[in-house]
Amino acid sequence: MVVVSLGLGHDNDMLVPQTTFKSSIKIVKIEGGGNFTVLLLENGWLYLAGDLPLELECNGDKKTWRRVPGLYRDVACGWSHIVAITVENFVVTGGVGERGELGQGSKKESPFLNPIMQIRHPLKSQVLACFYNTYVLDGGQLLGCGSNTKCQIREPKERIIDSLVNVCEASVSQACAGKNYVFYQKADGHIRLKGSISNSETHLPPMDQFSAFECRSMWTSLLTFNANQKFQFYGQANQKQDAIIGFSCNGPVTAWSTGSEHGIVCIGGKQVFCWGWGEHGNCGSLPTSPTPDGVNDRSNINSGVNLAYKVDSTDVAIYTCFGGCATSWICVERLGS
Amino acid sequence: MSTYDQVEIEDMTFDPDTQMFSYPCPCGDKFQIYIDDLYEGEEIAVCPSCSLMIQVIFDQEDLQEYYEEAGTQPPAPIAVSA
Repeated sequence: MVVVSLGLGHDNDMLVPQTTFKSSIKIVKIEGGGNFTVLLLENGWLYLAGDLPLELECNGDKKTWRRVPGLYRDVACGWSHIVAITVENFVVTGGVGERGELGQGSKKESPFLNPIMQIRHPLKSQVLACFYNTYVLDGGQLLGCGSNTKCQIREPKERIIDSLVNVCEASVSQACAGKNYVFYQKADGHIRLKGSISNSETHLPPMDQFSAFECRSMWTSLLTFNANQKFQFYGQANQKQDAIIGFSCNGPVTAWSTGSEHGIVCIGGKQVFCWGWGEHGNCGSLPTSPTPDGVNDRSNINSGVNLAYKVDSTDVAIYTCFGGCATSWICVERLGS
Repeated sequence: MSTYDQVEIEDMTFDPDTQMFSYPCPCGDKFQIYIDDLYEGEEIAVCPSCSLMIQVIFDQEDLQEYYEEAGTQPPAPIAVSA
């Protein structure tokens, strides 16, 4: 398995994908915080690169991937904190959380991943985070902590909620979190948005909420993808974050993801397209502006849907993709290996 | 001027040592603006690492508590002689 990345994370911003991680074990998740990235392998190993005040097995060069002690099933990142689920089914948090997002009471710094909750439904649990918020979905129960200045967790607004509280009384089937909001679908099919996607709008667009769909968040927008291979977008689009709407994919969508203000979609396991805010090279180079050295020349700042990577070999496939702060990660595997 | 987002001042972080408000930028750096610049009517915070900018939503009287936190005073008006 190989991960290639675009955008930040190198000595220079890169417009052309560079190999950033290799492993014989499958990569199941990559998440980006403000100045760090975490990478989770199928065997539970968790790696961190970048700058986060967390004790690691080897405190080496911040530019390299360093192993986080322990084994994990899921992980998510806020601006400067991590939330994860251990294989022992504890939700743990670490890093820095000025707005209560660590969920460790008044503690605002945690150099170790400390438990804040025990998972009751291991097979139906996941963690979410964005910015100054942490969310846990455990068997239909959605809990959250952190900033509540836009009432993204509960009414009335508060600056800090420093331990996990219920976000929704009803059972929740899926959720995603943006900068000041959480979007979720209840088990009965109804959808709800708490908080504020932008300063002026809080209502959701017309959406076929009872059909199957997946949801992902950029910081200031929401993207859904339904069983009919159709994307729906809601939120701010000043940087072309909505460019995927109306784009005709030349094959089935096999993976998709969102970064802070850009999107990534994989078509047929062979091509990756990016769109939205690409100032750091994270949406790839334009065909009209080739960059032989791969270094970002700032020719693709607000990107339409742009072919950023493709594989031609029949024995190689792109199996997933992820987005972070001005960074795109593309995971490639050799078939049959 | 087109800005990336509008941000209320209560959502920003104030550092009394540098007298600066900051707020995360989607590039991983932070938007920044000095309290005195806000007091004097500037409302656009910029990111040192990219072209994005935010508009800070505030009233001038909101700044008083931050000046008190920093132990400083707003800049005195400059006298203009006729």
